[in-house]
Amino acid sequence: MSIRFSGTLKRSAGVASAIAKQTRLLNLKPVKNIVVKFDPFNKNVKETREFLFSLTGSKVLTTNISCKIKTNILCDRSQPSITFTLSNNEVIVFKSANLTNLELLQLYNKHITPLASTEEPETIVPQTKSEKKARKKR
Amino acid sequence: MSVLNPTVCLQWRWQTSLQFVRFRKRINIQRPAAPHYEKAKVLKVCKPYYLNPREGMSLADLCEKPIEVQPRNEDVENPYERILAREVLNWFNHSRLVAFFHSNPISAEDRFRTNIMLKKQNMYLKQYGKKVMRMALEDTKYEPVLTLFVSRNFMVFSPELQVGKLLKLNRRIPQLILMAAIVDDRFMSVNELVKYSNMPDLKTAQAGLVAVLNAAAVQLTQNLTHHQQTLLGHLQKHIELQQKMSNEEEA
Repeated sequence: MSIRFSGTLKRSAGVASAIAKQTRLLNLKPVKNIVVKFDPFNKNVKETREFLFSLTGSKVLTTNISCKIKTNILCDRSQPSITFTLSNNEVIVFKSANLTNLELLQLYNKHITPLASTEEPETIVPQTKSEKKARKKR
Repeated sequence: MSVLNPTVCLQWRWQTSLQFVRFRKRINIQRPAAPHYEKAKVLKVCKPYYLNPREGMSLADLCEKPIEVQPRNEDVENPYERILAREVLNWFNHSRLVAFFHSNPISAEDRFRTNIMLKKQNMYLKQYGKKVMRMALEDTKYEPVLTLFVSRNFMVFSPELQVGKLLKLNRRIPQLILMAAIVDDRFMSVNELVKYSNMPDLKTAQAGLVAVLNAAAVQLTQNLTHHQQTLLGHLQKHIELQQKMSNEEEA
């Protein structure tokens, strides 16, 4: 008698590919304003900076050209944070002192990226040849 | 006749004799015949043995990752890195202004344009890795700068002191974010840089200092001569009024 299969069929390809996968899923459409605050002399700032780097990639920026990304450099050794102001005026704050780049991306894709899919785009139905001919005849 | 011919003699070679052993379909590996006693003795003596690297380790040590699998740190020094490190230290020692930027993704074209913009202001854009920076700045007075070298960084070196221009350029280049700078051997954060750029030049500051130092004495003389000054003022006004009246009478 065999037990049910448990475990993975594929092995994980590492942190870098996980980050790449999350970055591909990123969609800035629901966000109208991003403010990243960090103090460069704070110890916990590496992952925030990496996240800022992921957010400002050219492919990610093209998902929403009107989204403004601003960086505030703090000088008071306070903890880093990322504030997203959505287009429906909701404000979401990520306190990124103890989060890694991958976790930040996963959180974003869990909470904010699904909001982009709720806005369904108008699908253009391509016209068939007979339809075009009928239009021309008119 | 051909046997006696020297060229034919030279062609004689030792021929290896081939005797085919495997004439059956399958070879036998799994049930080999026991060797002869003498052969067995030789085999036993020549058998290789390997020492167990984990011998004598406690159970706690055995539960850790095995030594054979741990990656060895290849600390081979690269002479090119040493050259770059020397170059970096040279830049640090010969520039009055060193600015540190966090870098977001920047295309090569934008980077080229930034380079041109900076060169026109006598500023030089450089990018080096953490390893080279550590090699260059460890055990020097610039060691605190290494705390900034996390994630991606750019540096701008300038032999002139142009903090105002630097702040303007920071606004013009969206991909580079100014974090800190070294101004005349003083490590400053962004707030301090802004304050520095808003400060007046040295002569104005010196004049201000002189005024502050003399302020107490000036105040004292003002207090002492206050009544005399007011009397003088009233008298002058009186004279003016009288002159006006006499002018009007003449007219």
